[in-house]
Amino acid sequence: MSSPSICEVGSRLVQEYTTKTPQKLKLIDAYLGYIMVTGIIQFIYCCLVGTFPFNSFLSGFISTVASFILGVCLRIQVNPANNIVFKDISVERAFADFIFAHGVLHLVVLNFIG
Amino acid sequence: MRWGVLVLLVALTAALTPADRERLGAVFSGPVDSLKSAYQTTVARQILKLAPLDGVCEFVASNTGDSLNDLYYASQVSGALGCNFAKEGAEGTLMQEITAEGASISKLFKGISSLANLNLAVDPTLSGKISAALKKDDSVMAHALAYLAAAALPGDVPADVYDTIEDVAHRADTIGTARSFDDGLMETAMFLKGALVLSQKQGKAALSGEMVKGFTAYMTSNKNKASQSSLFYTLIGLDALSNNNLAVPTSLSVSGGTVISGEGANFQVVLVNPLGEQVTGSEASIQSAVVPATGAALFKTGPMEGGNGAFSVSPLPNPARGVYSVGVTGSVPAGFVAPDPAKFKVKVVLPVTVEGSSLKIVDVDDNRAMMTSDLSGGAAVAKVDLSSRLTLDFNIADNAGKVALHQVFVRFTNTKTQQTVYFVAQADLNKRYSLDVNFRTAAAKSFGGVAGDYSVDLILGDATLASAVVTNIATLTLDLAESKEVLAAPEKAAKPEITHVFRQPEKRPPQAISSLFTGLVLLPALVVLGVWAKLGANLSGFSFSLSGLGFHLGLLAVLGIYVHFFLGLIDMFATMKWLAIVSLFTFLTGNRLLASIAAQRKEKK
Repeated sequence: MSSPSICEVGSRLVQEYTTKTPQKLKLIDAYLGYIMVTGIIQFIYCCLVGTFPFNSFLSGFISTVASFILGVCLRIQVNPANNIVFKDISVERAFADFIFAHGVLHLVVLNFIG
Repeated sequence: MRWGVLVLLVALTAALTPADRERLGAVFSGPVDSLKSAYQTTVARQILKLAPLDGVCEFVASNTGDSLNDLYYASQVSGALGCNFAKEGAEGTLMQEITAEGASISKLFKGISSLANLNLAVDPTLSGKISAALKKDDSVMAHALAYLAAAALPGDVPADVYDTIEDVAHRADTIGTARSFDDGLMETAMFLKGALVLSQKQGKAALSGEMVKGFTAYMTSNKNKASQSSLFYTLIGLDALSNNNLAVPTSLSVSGGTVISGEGANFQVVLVNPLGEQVTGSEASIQSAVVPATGAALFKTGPMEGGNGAFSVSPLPNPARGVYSVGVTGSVPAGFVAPDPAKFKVKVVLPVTVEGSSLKIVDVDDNRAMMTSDLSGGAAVAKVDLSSRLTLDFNIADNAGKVALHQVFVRFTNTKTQQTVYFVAQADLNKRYSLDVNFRTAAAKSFGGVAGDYSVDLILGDATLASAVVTNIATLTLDLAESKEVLAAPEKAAKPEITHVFRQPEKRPPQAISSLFTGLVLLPALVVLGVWAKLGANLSGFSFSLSGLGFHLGLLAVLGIYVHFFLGLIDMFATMKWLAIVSLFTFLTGNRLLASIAAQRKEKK
């Protein structure tokens, strides 16, 4: 039997994703995608026009990176498939952590952006 | 034999020198352009015992108005010069100022002093008014004027005013040896004048000898000030200290110039009061006059010749060269404070001769003396090269025998380039000097490999020589196979000017690109909102409870604080403060809200 081709693997992945993934996780995935695109656009801008002022670029880029990481953390904790690992942390607790971390992140970013 | 006496380190004078008196006399030589300058010039010249300027009386007579200040200055000048100044209604004005209710001490002083100087009657009961005015104004200046006013009243000195002198004197600070009041020169000078005039009238000194010495040190330290007013008050202070018969401080200082040479030279000392006037009836004597290391004596100990403030002493015959430390003490009649014992440095300078010299040029390889000279026939002439060695031996002597001096150099000067090379001649234990130059090594090391004619000089210098002795002893021609070129003198022309280039600001991208990317960055936000809507996100589960609303409002408030901070409307301190309050509220409401959502979820399960 021939191994499945890339196209077949890809379409299988997309099909499984759209059917098996809970709605909440899809929302978070959309959010993560948005964050990533924002980060990429900032990076392209920096490549085009140079790094001055460097602190502004750094704070903007790292803001997207950190937000992405926090979003990933939220997704992991909220995923029902990981319930065994995170049974002490409820969904609401994960969300509260997410909000608090974002509060601190944005304070630091706004201070550093200049 | 000729010798000279050089006097060094005149003791720190606590008095005016003759040069100071002359300089001050020049400062106060007019022209007189105001009543105040007439007053200051007249009084200063009187203190310095100079003749008064012409035309001062006429100037005062024609320029005096009716004010208390004018009458005060005019009366002072009149009293000092004997002008017989008279003004219509002067007495009336003065009496009016004095008898006014609550008259200040300044007005009282000026009024009383003016009446006294114009030979008009002064009421003795005014001492009560003086004491009353002193109670209102406690400053040093007020006390000074009170003392002067009280001294101008007929009758006994009021005891309550006199008794304050010592207390006020203790308010002065001592910095080093100088004692003065915080307020400065004018206050200190007027205080001294007042206190000493009043003490003189009382017949008893109110200031101790130590205090008087401290004040004197301060007064003389001001003798080099620039302004005429400062110098005037310096003279006032020094005059007060010098012209009383209770306790006049005195000091010893050297006079008669700093360099005396030739036979008949002697050492002169004066004993003076703070104004620099010699003290009649005083004596001075030499305590010691020796070189500290060897004990050789310069003067005989005992009383100095002369008297009445000017003393001199002749040296013992044939003094040895050196720096002598001379201790002098003085004694004074009653009414004067004996001067501090003084230590002066006196230097004996003697000429020297060079004798017993021997200059040899020796061949290094076979030790053959190629040239020998004793320098008696003038400068030697010789040729040297890399195989030569120059040796020079000599003694230095004065009339007492061989001496060792501080600086004994042999200088080689290249006649063409004027470059110099110095060698130091060393003395052995018998004080015989010698120099040994081996050209095999010295040619490169000391002479830089430059060949040519060199003139050789012997240089002698010392503190006990009147001036350095430079003798040309030889002319040498240095032959070298390869002579180094002399380095050119450094370029003396101006270097090119450096204009500072300020830091250029960084290049920023054009506005269009920045705006485009700002838009691009905001675009995904809209996209994600659309995706969420498509995925079925909605606000149907929004709880309008208190905690729900509170939590969302709290989050918006936090965002609002951040925006304010970013816009620079509040600083980090204020941000932290607001954040603490709002985040506490948000946390509490959020906790409630999420707990209720969790409870609802559990119920549903």
